[in-house]
Amino acid sequence: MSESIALDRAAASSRATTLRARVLDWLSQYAAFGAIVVTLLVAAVMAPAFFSPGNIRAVLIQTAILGIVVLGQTVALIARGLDMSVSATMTFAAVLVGESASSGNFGLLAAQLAILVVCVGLANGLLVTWRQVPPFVATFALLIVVDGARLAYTHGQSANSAPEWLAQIGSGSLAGVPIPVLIWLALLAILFVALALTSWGRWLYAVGSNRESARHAGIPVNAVVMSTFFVTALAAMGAGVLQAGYVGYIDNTLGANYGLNSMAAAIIGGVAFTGGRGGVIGSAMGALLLTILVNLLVVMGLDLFWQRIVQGAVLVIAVVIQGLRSRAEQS
Amino acid sequence: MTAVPGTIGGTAGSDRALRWMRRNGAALLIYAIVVVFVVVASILSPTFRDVSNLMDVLRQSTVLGLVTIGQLFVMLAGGIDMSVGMIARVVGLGIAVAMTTLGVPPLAAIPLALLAGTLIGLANGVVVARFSAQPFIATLGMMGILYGVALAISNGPTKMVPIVMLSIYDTSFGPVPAAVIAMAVIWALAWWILRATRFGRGIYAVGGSPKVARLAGLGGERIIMATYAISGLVSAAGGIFLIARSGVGNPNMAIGLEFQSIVAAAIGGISLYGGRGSVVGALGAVILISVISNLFDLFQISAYYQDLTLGLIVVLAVAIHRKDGAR
Repeated sequence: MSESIALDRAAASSRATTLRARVLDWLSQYAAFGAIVVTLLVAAVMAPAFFSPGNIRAVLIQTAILGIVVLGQTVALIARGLDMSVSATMTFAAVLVGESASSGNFGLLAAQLAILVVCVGLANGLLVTWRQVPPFVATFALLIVVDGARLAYTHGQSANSAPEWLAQIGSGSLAGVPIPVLIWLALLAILFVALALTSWGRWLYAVGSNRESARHAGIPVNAVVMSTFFVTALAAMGAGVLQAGYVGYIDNTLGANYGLNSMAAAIIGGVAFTGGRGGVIGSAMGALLLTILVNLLVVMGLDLFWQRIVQGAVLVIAVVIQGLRSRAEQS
Repeated sequence: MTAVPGTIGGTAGSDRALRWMRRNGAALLIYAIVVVFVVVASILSPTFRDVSNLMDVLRQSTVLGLVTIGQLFVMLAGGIDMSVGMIARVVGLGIAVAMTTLGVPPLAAIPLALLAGTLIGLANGVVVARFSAQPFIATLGMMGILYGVALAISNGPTKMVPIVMLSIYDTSFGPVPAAVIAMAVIWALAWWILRATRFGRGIYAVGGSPKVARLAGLGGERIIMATYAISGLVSAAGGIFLIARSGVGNPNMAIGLEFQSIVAAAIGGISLYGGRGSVVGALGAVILISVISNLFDLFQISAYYQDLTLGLIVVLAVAIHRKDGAR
């Protein structure tokens, strides 16, 4: 009698835990989407100016630039890595682009950008795979080195304007859609397919879920991890170039905060920091959410510091939702 | 015959020495590097070997030294604290504004500042321990929030703080600055806590294996929260000390402290995976970083190359540091 009550209780409590786990799981996947809807409702009531065509266009372009960095960050996170050095790579790429405006030497620019991506990707990748340095330490060290290298290279002077052709790409439109948005959507589609259909995509998830069993299954774990850092560096380089074109000038803070924001976007978009989970669609939602939030603060005329507070808070909330989910799954 | 026991004894002794060397290899290496740097710099530069300059090297290491203690408590318990620099900045700016614009007397402002830092650290601890949030990302978020708070407090240099505050930095007993003595005491205290107290053993246990520590009823969550609170406390102390050094709050103060403290702890032999490492090595790394930045200034290395040089040194250091079978 009492035994069956105890069993009922156990069953009920396990139902409760699975329900809790399911809610948290659902929340971690669709939090960004839900938050976008809520934010837009708030915007409609409190700041109708948000919906002016010019502002929507700005939001979409800014989302695209952040979104490109986020694509790389998503790939790294799926393989249980992350890349703090993206902001430094972005700024350095933009500085190189700015120099090409005066020199007009595109061959040199292409070579410089390629060297930048290869050096950063290779250094991060080697530290993480060969020397087994935790990704956040390795990429943080590279953040300092790449920012330092830029400072040594420019002697602090990087206020430059973007070349004309790039400004046209950055602020131009094709069939009414801003070009950066088209580039972002194209890259999004490519990565979506790559993650879903190629063996590289499957390997990423396997490596992120369980490195040891991936190794036993014959997956080239080190090569896969290495590839993620080339993807993040490449994405950051592209975003830096586009950002330079969009804002029209280059300064030392061009890439600032993209490290934190790209992680916040990916994680609020359901990419698990424990690896092996999430995808580019969710993290694109995260990028859209962060950009809308920050833009709304600007439209509402709030002080600049609120942007930082909101960006940090989104990251904390995202990581708490995921932490609670993984705890609910374990129990 | 008589030689045999001797040989055995000798082998056992050198075995023990070898094992000791292996266990403390990282710390020994750090101090060896410090000695090499100091000797070479002393030969090259009469200014460097001046006692007052050497004392200044130690005094300038105080901020990093304080923050690194918090960082190593957190790291030993298997976490990481990215918000230390911003805690120092928020507290430093806050105390400067409180003492100048609001007119709060230093004797009231200092305890309040320390309390504020501890509470921010505790918030980190709650998010990490209670909500199982990944420490790096959670404290990175806190760093972002605090960056905003710092901008909200002041986006320009503050007014000059009361002159009493400067004595925290300036007071000396003979050639030895009071700040250096205070730091030595605090490091000794940290060493004792980790070595001799139940709390200290708990930290190593939690860092070594969080799940086991939780199951064994060691109060893993509370220990983790305490390490973050300590980190917040010492970071706040670092912020106060920065104000005592410069006399004004600056919205760019305490930049890079999170990274330097993690690097100091890591090259000092604290495992980035928790549960391993010693206080002594981390202190050596703090002194090493201070020596290097003193040499930068002494040999007038352009500010444009300092970041790059420090970054490359760090990359070398973490590349040599290897995940030593901790887990």
